[in-house]
Amino acid sequence: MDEQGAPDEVLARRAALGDRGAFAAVVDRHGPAVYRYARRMLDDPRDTEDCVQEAFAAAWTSLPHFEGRSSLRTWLFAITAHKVRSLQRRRSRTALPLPFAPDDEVDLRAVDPESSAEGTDLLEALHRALRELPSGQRSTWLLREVEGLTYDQIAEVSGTTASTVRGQLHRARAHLIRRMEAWR
Amino acid sequence: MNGEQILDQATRTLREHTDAGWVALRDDVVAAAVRAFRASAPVRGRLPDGELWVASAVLVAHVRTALSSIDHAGALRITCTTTPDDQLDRVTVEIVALYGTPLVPLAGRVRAVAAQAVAESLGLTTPPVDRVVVDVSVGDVTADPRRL
Repeated sequence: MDEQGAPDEVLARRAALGDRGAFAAVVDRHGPAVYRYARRMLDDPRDTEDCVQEAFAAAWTSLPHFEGRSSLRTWLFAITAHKVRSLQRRRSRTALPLPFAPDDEVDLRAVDPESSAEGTDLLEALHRALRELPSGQRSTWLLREVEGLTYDQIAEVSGTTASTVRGQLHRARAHLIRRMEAWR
Repeated sequence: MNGEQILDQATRTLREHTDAGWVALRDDVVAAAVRAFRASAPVRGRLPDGELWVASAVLVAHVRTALSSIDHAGALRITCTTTPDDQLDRVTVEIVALYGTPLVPLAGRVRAVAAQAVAESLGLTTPPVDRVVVDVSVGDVTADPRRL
């Protein structure tokens, strides 16, 4: 059966009935984005691996109950965001430092343009700027600007409202523009 | 370039970026996920010298695999109902059919294949068409073979 060309809802339906090939196609289609999101939210490769593995295991066990009220992609991001929040709570209980600094504590000279080259360094500069954002703003910006979710989909993923999403996105974008301006 | 343009460029780069960590992790993710337990009711089967218990999720997966050999149809939902003593009472197969396919013969093939798969899974020597009801319903019709 052709898995690669099948729409998401068809893959989800087949995987719900136990089709492992269809599930592997879901993982191949959405795994890179889920990993990209989790990696930037958790800022730790080991935590990212745990998060992504737990998210897809939860997706496999829950697929028989997936009713398609949201898109498969949104549903996968909702599971992943939930796992991210759990790992962040676990991390804060073990007293590790939070992966961001409040806006007013950020040293704009910390991103050193002289140590950077185009491409990889541009991404690294963006990563540094993202780390400074509070978790909610960072999640909203990643889901909107990188993963292309709508405000309503992000609100569903984050358990908030579209107007809150709009505000978070505005603040995140303003901060990132300032930081990237400094990188230039 | 101003800060906004740099951010846009960085965003585009990140959008097209696949982490090396993902490439290394992909196989493990699939393998670990499909090992995760799906809770489902037990169904009583039969072995020559005793009883066999099969999780309904396993039974559903076997029926789905068998049905994938049928052209012009795809399984939408497969459900098993059992009696209070866990005997299989009824299998319900909801399908999507390719537009223009004669539905009655298609439903007959689906019913026969599903019954055969149930028989094999539960250790029954003949398909339990007479003992267990296999209901087939056509829940949708599509002109797009990718949606089967």
